[in-house]
Amino acid sequence: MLTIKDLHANVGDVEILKGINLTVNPGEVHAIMGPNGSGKSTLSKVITGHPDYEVKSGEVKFEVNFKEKDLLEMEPEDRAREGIFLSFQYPVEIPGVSNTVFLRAAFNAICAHQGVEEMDPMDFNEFLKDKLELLKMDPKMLSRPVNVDFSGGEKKRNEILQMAVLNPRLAFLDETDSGLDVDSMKIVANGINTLKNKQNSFVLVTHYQRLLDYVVPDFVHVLHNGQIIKSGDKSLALEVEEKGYDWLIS
Amino acid sequence: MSTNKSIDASTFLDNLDQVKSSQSWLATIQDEALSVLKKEGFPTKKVELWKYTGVEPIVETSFTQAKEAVNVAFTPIPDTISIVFVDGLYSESLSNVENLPSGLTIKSLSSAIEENADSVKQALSEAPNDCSDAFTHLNRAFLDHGIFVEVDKNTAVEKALHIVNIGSQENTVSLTRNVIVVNSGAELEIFEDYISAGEAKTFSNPVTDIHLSKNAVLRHAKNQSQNSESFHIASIRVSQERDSSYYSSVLTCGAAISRLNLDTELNDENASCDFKGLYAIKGKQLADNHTVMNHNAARTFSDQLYKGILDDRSRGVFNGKVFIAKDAQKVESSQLNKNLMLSKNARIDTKPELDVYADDVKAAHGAAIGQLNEEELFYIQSRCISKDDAMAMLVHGHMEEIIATVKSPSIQNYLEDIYLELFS
Repeated sequence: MLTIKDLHANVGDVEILKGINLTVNPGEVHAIMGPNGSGKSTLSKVITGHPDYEVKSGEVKFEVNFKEKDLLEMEPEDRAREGIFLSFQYPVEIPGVSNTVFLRAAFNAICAHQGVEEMDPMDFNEFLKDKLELLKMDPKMLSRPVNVDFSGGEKKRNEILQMAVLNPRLAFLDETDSGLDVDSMKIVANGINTLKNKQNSFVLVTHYQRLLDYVVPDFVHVLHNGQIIKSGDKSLALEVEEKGYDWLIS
Repeated sequence: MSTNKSIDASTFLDNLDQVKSSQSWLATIQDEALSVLKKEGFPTKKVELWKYTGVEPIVETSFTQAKEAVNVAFTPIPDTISIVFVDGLYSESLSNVENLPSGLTIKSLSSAIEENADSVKQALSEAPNDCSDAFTHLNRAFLDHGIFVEVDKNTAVEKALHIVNIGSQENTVSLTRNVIVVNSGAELEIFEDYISAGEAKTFSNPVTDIHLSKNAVLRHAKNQSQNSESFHIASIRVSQERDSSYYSSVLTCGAAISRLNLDTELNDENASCDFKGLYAIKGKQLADNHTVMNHNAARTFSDQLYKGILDDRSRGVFNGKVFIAKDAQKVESSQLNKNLMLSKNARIDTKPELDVYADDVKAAHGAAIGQLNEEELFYIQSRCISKDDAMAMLVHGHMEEIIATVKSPSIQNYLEDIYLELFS
């Protein structure tokens, strides 16, 4: 589904990613761990097309309808329309735009891209109601401006709500667990587990293995200094939790 | 005689007809205003309060008053009481002031003057001061048409009043004067609206005087969306008694040159005001907002947020003055002016001013000027929305923030129809 080969990327003159190789297949859950500054957030931003990052070399291919597309050539919105999602570490506030209006605009953009009819607003509201229940969110959140005056936990839940509405094929969840209390984390994890199926994939970018108790990864990768220095199964996360990163960094 | 601080007004004034009031007290005021205006003229940019706004294009045009209220298309806003002026003249056929709720009085200013009501007299009687106020002198000298509104004690009026002036005839000036009195414990919503029918160049120069008695509440929205040939210079003066609340939402997107002077006097404890504003301009438009909040008493409160969206070569001016009198302790005031520049050639001159003579007060002010935020754009794009639509969404969001402060949903809808398509 996603193939990253020898990816190098900069912010300004500083090289952050120094040759990343990663393959994600349908139905897989990957976890990317690593200390601060290792390039974890950069990787998901490069894949989703943030304008601050410049790709120096390497390739990122994404399979759409059995054809490989060059993601790096595409605008952020086109990547999203093909089914790539990023749950932001720091979700952005949009004053004056209500959550409902925002969700409907995003959903309709996908409908237009797929050439299907937009959902009737009443039906869309029903559709939203189910998603809200899944995340135990108050329907009042829908009429509030996107993320404005939301608590940290509310913002993270709102990201997962957007994910539930857009139903992506490949989702990057950047530090979705940070700033969540245990109860919120269980709700968010339950949301992810409910959305997970054999066709879609998740990449969990995280500092801690906490979230991985609830959303069990098939693969764990440790990122250090812009490279994946070790890959393994879920036991690697436990090992990192116990021993830290030092033993991996020689 | 023109000097570097003033522009001679005699040619402009010669084109106008003065209808003298039959009430001698008012006729004296009209004469006084006219003679001050003749002597002092209109301000140039050398006058501090008009530093960024040149009025030459206005006062060098030969405007005359309309002879009659011509018929123009007008669609009333649902759930409002329409009070319609066309080119400054009251239009009985377009207005709908039948079957008013009890406790609400609406009458023409001239009949209120004839009845010699104290509240009218008070509002119209202040002495003329300096030439920075030339346009209120102009309104005063030619005072004729306008509306008088009074709400009885403890009456909450449910429907909003839509007071609209439609500019329609080429080179006409409208000089309407509104007097709004909200008695103790009463509540009212008004919507002052300045628009154009067609492309005629017109000049609206209204003055609105407002008095809020104890514990009165007024929600006051104002829109100015005249065509881009026209001019608009308006004044709103509010005086507030104890425990009264004044909520203002001022929206501007029209006229070649526009200016609003919005002043409130917080005269007794626990009086509060909340000013929200939006100017959304493009082309070569100039929009100037001058606000003054006078905290004349202790424990009075004010809050202010003015937002600008400026495209092309437009120019915005924001000057917000907060005055806190000697011994007006425990006053709280906050003020913010935020500007979104959509073009490199647009310009904003913003000046928050604090004038504080008491020591135990909380006063905050600030101004921000910036472009569309890249993080916000990326966030929206990452949700499948194109960059152009993301930009439109952010611009809409800025406008909605102010439109949402208007109480009546039908007026909100009316404003959304005007504002949300501006930059698309």
